Amino acid sequence: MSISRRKFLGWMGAVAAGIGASSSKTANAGGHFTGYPDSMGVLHDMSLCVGCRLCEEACNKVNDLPQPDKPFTDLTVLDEKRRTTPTSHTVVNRYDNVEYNGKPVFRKMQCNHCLEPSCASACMVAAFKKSPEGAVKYDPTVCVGCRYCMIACPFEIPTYEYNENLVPLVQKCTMCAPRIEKGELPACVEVCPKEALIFHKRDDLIKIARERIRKYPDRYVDHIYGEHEMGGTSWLYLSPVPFHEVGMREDLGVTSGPELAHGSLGLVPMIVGLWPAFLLGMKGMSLRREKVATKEKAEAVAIAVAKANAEGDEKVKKAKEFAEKQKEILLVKAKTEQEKAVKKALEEAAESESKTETKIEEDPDA
Amino acid sequence: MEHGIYTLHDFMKQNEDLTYILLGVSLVLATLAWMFLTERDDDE
Amino acid sequence: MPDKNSGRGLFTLTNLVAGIIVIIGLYLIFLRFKGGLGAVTNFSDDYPWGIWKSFFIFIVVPIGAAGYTTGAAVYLFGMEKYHSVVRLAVLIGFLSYCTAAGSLTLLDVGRPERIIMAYPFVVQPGTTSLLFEVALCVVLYITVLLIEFLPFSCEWLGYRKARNWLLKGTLALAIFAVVLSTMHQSTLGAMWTITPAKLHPLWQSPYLPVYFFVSSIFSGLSVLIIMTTICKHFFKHLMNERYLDEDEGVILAFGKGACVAMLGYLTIQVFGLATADKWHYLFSSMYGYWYLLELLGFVALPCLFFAMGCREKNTKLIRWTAVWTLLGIILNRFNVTLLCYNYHLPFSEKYTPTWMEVWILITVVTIVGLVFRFIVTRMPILYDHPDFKSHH
Ligand code: SF4
Ligand code: SF4
Ligand code: SF4
Repeated sequence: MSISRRKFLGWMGAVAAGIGASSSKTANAGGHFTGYPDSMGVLHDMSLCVGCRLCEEACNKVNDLPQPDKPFTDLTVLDEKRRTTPTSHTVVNRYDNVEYNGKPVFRKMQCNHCLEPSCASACMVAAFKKSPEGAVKYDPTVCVGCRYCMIACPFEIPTYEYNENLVPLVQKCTMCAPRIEKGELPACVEVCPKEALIFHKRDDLIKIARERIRKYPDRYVDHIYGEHEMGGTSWLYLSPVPFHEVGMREDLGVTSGPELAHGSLGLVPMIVGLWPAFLLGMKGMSLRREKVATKEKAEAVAIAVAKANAEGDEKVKKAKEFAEKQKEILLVKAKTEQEKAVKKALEEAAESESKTETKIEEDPDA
Repeated sequence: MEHGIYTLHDFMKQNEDLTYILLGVSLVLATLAWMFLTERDDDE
Repeated sequence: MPDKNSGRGLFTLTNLVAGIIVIIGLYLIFLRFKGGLGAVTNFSDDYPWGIWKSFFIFIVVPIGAAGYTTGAAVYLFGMEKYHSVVRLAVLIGFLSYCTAAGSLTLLDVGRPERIIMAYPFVVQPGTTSLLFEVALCVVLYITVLLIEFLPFSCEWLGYRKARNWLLKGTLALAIFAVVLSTMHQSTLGAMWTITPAKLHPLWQSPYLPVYFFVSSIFSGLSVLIIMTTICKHFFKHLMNERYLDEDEGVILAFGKGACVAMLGYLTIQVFGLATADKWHYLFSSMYGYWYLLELLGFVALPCLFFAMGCREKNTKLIRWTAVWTLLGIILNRFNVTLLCYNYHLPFSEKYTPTWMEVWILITVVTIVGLVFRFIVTRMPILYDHPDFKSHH
C-alpha cells in the first residue's frame, strides 16, 4: 500500500512540481540558494573542549547504541585517532601535536549537517533530506546500501553496518532531530559541561562566533570552519589552532556537492538531446551517399550497357551492309561474268559462222 | 512544497525528476521523427 | 549447431579447475549473506567501495563498451563490411553488463532485495544522484543488449519470425546503445567529481566524465580485438570463412580507431593538467610518477604501438597492444576508485582486499567465462546460421 501510494505521489509530484511549482516559490536569487531561514545549528568551540567524552556517552544513550568495550569514563581511548562508526555517531579526538593553554586540543566530530548535503545529492533513493530545522535526515526504509553517500561525504561521516547480514543500515548523527522537534536540545549539547557546544539559529551562531573572534583575537584562528566549507554546514567550529592541525581539511573548497553534481548531471540532457540528432544526421548522410552512389553506379551501368548495345547495333549494321555490298558485288561480278561468258559464246559462235560463211563464200569461187 | 524551495538540492530534485521524464519522451519523439522523415524514402 | 565439444566430455581439466573455483566461491558468497559484508570483505567506513565496485562497475562496464563501439562503427560509421564481429561484440556487451548489474546487486549492495524490487526507480527515485543515472542507463542498456542478442538465440532455437521481427530495430538500437553508453560511461567518471578533495588532484578533474567516455572507446575497441583473437585461438573450428576473411581488416580498422581515440585522450589529459595548473604535482610525489606511468606507459606507448601496427599491417602487434591498452584501463580505473582515492589517509588506514573478496571476484569471472563458452559453442556467434544466411 505505502509503496504504491508513494510511487504514485512520487511520479505525480514530479510532474506537478515540475510544471506547477517550478516558477513559483523558489527562494533563489539569480540561481543562488541561501538555505532554510531560521534553521538551527551547533557551534563547537575547541578552545573550551576538555575531552571529557560526556557528549559521546549522551549520544550513545539517546540513540540506543550498544555499550562500547571501554566505558566512557576511560580517557585512554583518546590515545588513538578514531572516526565515527556505526555504534558511535560522534567521537572526540585529542591532538597532541598542538597546544592551547598548555593542554592538547580536542575536537568533536559528527555529521556536519551540510546546508547542501553531498550525501543527499549522491543517494540514488533520495534517502537523505535537509530538514527546515537544520538536520540532514536519513530514511532507512528506502536505503539500498550502495554506500555512495559514504564516498560522497567530504567529511567522511556516514558509516555502514558491515556486520549486519540482512538489514544493514547507514548510521550517522541525527542532530537529535526527534529531540529538536520536541523543543529539546541535542543530547550532546545539553550534557556538555563547558558549553563547548552551543545550539542556536545558524545565523546567530555565526554572529556569536564572529564576536568571539573579535573579542579574543589571541584565542582563535580567524576563521569559522563550516561557514563556507562545501557550501556551508549547520555545525560550525572555532579553533585556537589551524584547523588542519586538528585533522580538519582546509582544501575542501566552498562548492557544495550538489552543485558539483549539478554541473556533471547537466551534461546528460545534452547527450540525449544531441547525440541522436547527430548520429541520425550522420546515418542519413551516409544512407544518402550510399543511395547516390548506387544510383550513380546504376546510371553508369545503364550507360555502359546502352553504349555496348549501341556499338553492337552499329557492328551488326555494318556487317549487314558489308554483307549486302558483298552480295551486290558478287552479283555484279556474277552478272558480268555471265555476260562475259555469253558474249564469248556469242562471239565464238559468230566467228565460226563467219568462218563457215567465208568457207562457203570461198567454195563457189574456187 | 508549501515552504518553497530553499536549497539547491531540493531545486535539483524537482528539476531532475522532470528532466528524466522529458529525456524519455525526447527519445521516443526522436524515433518517431526519424520514422516520419524517412518513411517515404524508398518511393523515390 | 550441435555442440562440437561434446566429444571431449564434461570432465576436462579446465572444467575441473573452474568447478573447484566456483564451489569454493559459492561457499564464500554464502558466508557473505550469513555474516554480512564484513564477514568476507575489508570494506570499511573510509573505503566503502572495495575491489568489487572497482572491478564490476568501473572496469567491466568499459569492457562492455565493446558492444556500443562496434555497433556504432558498423551501423553508424559506415564499416558495414566488418559485419561479422557485431555478434561477438553484442555478446561481450551483454555478458559484461549482466555481470556488472548482477554481481553488484547480488553481492556488493547491502539490501539486494530492494534493488531487485526497483526501489531506486519506483519507490523513491533519487534523480539528483549520478549513481541513479548510471543505474538507470545500465538497466535500459541491458534491455537494448538483450534485444540485440535475442536474434542469435532465436536462430539457435529456430524461431524465424521472432528473429526477423527483432532485427528490424537494428538501427534504432545501435543509436540507443551509443546514447545510453555515452551517458553512463561518462557518468561513471562524473560520480567522482562530487567529492573534490578525496581523489588525488591528478586524477580529480571536472573533465572526468569526458576522460571516462573517451577511454571507454579505446577500451571497447581493444576488448573486441582481444576477444576475436581469443576466439580465433580456441574456437577457430566454429568460425566461418567470412569471419576469417574479415578478421585482419577488423583488427587493422579497430586498431586504428583505438589509436585515434587514445590520441584524443592524451590531448585532453594534458589540457586538463594545463587548465587547472597541475604541473607541479607531476614530480613532487609518488602519485606524480604513478600518474606519468599510467599516462605515458599505458596510454601514450600503446597508442604509438597501435599506430606502428596499423602502418606496418602487423596484426600481431595490434593484438598484443590491445591487451596492453586494456591493462591501462584497468590501472586507470583502480587508480581513480581505490589507489588514489583517500590519498590523504596514511598508509596504515588504506584498504587491502581480503583473499575472499578476490576469490569471489575470480568466481564470478569464471562463471562468466563458462557462460561465454556455452553460448559461443552453441549459438551462431562466430558463423552465420546456415538457415539464416541473408544479412542486412
Ligand atoms: S557531513 Fe556528510 S553525512 Fe553529514 S550532511 Fe554533510 S555530506 Fe551528509
Ligand atoms: S547507502 Fe543508502 S543512503 Fe547511502 S547512498 Fe546508498 S541508498 Fe542512499
Ligand atoms: S546531535 Fe545527537 S546524534 Fe548528533 S552527535 Fe549530538 S547527541 Fe549524537
